[in-house]
Amino acid sequence: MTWITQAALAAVFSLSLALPAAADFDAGWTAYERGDFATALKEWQPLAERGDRRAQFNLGVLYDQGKGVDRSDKIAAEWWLKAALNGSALAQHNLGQSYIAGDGVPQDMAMAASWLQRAAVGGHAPAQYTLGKLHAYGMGVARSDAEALRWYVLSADRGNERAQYNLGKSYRDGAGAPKDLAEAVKWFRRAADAGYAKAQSALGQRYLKGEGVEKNLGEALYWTALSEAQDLDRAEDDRAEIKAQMAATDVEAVRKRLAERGVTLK
Amino acid sequence: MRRVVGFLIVLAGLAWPALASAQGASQLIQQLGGQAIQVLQTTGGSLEQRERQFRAILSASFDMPGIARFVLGRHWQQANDEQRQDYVQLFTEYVLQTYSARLGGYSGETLALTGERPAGQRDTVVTTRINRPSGAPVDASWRVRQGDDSRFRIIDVEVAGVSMTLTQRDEFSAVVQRYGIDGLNEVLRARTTKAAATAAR
Repeated sequence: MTWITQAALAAVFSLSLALPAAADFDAGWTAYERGDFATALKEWQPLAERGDRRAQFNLGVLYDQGKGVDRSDKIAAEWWLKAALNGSALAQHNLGQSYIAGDGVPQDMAMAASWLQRAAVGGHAPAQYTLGKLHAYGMGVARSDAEALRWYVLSADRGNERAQYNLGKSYRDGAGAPKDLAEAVKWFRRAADAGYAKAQSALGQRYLKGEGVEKNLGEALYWTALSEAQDLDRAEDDRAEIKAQMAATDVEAVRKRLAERGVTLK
Repeated sequence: MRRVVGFLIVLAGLAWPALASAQGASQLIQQLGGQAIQVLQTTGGSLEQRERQFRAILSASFDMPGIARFVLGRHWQQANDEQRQDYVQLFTEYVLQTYSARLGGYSGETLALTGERPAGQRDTVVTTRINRPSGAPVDASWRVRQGDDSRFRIIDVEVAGVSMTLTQRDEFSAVVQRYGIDGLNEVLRARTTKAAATAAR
């Protein structure tokens, strides 16, 4: 029996059977937010079994994280598969991630790429980003910087910070597109403004080197310090190096700017 | 890892025995438990807030950079700076996320200190028993090391005789051999960036 036949049968059955109590998505959500996962499960399970893709997706999360149930990434993947086939982009994305990690399904990069592609084509930004990464490394798909860049662009345009940062790197290094330092700075800045630590550090380096933007030690120090405040490893050394090249009054000006954002310059 | 994370729930609603040792290692585990109860008893916070609080507590109690490096084993040497940086960040995120997700909800488990013993030159293993409302109790032990800054931090957890770090080391090594360090980082990224439950349509 194909899954389509099964789904059709299930649909018919669900019409003919009265639901046990009233399964209520919102009641399940309120319980979930309270940390009462057992109630969330009770509300969502009947909905999921009737084919509600939102409930199916959330059930997958409960099993993936072991909330209200014994943790089972296998059952999680099964619910995500159902929701994914029902067109849930979130589920397609998570199922793709499960295949990358080998969580509840055999590790299979080609399967991962195929599910991520479905979500990505539907406009899901995190899936677009991850698909770009798979192309960049040649995992489950042919290695192609150009294809990676194509997905980063789509994801970055939708505001995905990781994609914006990777797009910056692609332009900086000429990977998948001709080298364009100004374009690199533009994308690093976009992600840095959004608070992404690696992009803040990269932007600081652009200012330090004067590549794609006019050299400016104050800006270099500012962005590097912001990444340091987020515990980025290399930031401590970079910050010390930049600071050593600056006049004390200029350092003080940056310190003040950082303090306005609640960040202490080390 | 899969089996090992089961212990996390642990810290919820603990009943500590009176035998509390003044020793630093036991104290650390005890504090961890006490703080966990406090978070759970604070009503009004959202699930996300509670998970964030657990994250901070766990982050301060575990030697994440040390564990990360140990788990990567000999592959650490072949990783470049950016790969190492990504790896440590992703591994830390992975562990904290898994654990705080487990702790965010109250599951009725209780944990009792059952003893402590020296391990190797510098470590102490604190043993605990987790009693569960449903199912048999589980024994968990926590390997604690005093750092150069004299603070105690957890460096490994063993549940039912299975070491978290050794299990991860085996798993990661297999991934690195097949997909390289970049591949391992993608695996960790995949685990830490799954979409969360949602009420959105």
